[in-house]
Amino acid sequence: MARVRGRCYAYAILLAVEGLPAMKLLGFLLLLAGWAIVLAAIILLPSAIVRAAFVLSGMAVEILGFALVIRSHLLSPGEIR
Amino acid sequence: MLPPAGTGTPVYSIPTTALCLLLIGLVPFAAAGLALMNTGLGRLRNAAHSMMSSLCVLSVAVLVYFLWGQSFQGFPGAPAHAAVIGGKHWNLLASGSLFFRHLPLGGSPASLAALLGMVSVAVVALIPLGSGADRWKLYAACISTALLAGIAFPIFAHWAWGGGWLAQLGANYGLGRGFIDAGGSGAIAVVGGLAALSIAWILGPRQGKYTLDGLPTAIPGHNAIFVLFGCVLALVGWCGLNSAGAVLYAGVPLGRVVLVFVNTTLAAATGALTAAIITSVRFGRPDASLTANGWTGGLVASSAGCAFVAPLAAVAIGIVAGALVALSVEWIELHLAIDDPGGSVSAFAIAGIWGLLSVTIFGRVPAGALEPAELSATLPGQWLAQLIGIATLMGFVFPLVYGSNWILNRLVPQRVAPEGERQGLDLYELGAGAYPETVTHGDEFARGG
Repeated sequence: MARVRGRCYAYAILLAVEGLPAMKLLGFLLLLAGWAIVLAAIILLPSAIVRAAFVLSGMAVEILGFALVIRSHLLSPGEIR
Repeated sequence: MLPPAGTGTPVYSIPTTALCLLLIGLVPFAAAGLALMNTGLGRLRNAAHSMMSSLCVLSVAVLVYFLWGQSFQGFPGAPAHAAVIGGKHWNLLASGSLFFRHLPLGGSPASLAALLGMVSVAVVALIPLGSGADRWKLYAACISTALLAGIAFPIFAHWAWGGGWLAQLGANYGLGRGFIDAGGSGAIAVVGGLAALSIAWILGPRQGKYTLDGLPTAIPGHNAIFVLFGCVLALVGWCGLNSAGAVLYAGVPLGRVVLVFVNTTLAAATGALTAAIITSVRFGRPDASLTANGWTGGLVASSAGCAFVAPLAAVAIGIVAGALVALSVEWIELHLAIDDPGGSVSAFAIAGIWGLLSVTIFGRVPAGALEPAELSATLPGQWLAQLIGIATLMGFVFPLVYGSNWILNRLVPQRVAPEGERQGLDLYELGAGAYPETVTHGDEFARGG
């Protein structure tokens, strides 16, 4: 039963990401990861300086993710949508 | 669940309630202004469709907010779902009743906040229409708006305005006063701007917008009068939005409404002038649509710190916003191949983020109560609270908005058929045009689209 359920989840994920380019998916994952770093920094780090450094690091990861999302949406040469 | 902050229902005095109602009553002018701007910046053959879409998405947004949005957003002190993380209460989501049930509608701050939320969500809903102009199906826009007004907006509005964890960053972690967004640079403009960006990407550029070489072609708006008159209406609406937000969400005294009006007007004026000067220098003459976008950018940027900055700072905020908008509109179109006819991404997302950041630079609030000894001292850690708010918008709201619209587009294609785009959405979706005595033509498609 658990195996069937796991397979269903796998198909659902495959269906969800079908047509979503890997670069775009990675970009959004990085956006979420960057936000998670920011949240973790607030919760886990009591020192103001270290917390600020980790928040800035999280934002840097977000910027990287956003850059990937932008890149994945650029028109290919000769492409007209 | 967090209990309500106090016993009984606090009620404002009648003059205070009347003034708040008056301020909230101005906000629909912002929606009217945005609708006119979006329509004027679109094509003639889609003018009626644009205004019809504005009315429909506004209605959907208000209805969804009434059905469940307000119950997610809540207000400070109301019951909420919270988790204890690291020894601190993280207020995550309001746990109000659906359909405004149990909401005291007798002039309480909660009822006024609900009313302000209802008109604010209408403004949010109109922002993506600017980027999806000339190619977004009417019913797809309505469903997309339901997702925006029912999920993304109320969640972030709760975190920023409803006593959520962003607003509590000051109390819990000593980060200034917590995330400051009095008039909605983040909760309204950036949320709407990120939705606009998602829609522009998902729909793709209009036919004929980009050549085979990838160069953008100019598709000018059809009515500059609509656009510029929309700016004036938007000013009236934004003055109400910023003032009501500052009083109800940021808890500033009513007497500071004058400062909010002054700051809002100054930021808009300097934003427009800066955009006009920049376009004059770059193109040899001022560009009306970019000047209007600069005006809107100034309004948007003024919102976050409208009650916490001095008028001279509002001038600086407007100048930077106008410059950012004027330069980024062209850059986004040329280098990112994003077709955003209304300039919504620049005027709302970029200017909104600048507005949130500007609080860290120019914001002056006392550590204690907001009394006339105001505008005197910066708050330690405020910059970090603002950055965390921006990180939340980028890392949570943007994937949420993009993902929901991407799934919607997989289920129901949001872009109109090529035939409809060629014919014009007025005739294709509504069966009648806005200007029946005017012949529309499609010469720009002759180049190949």
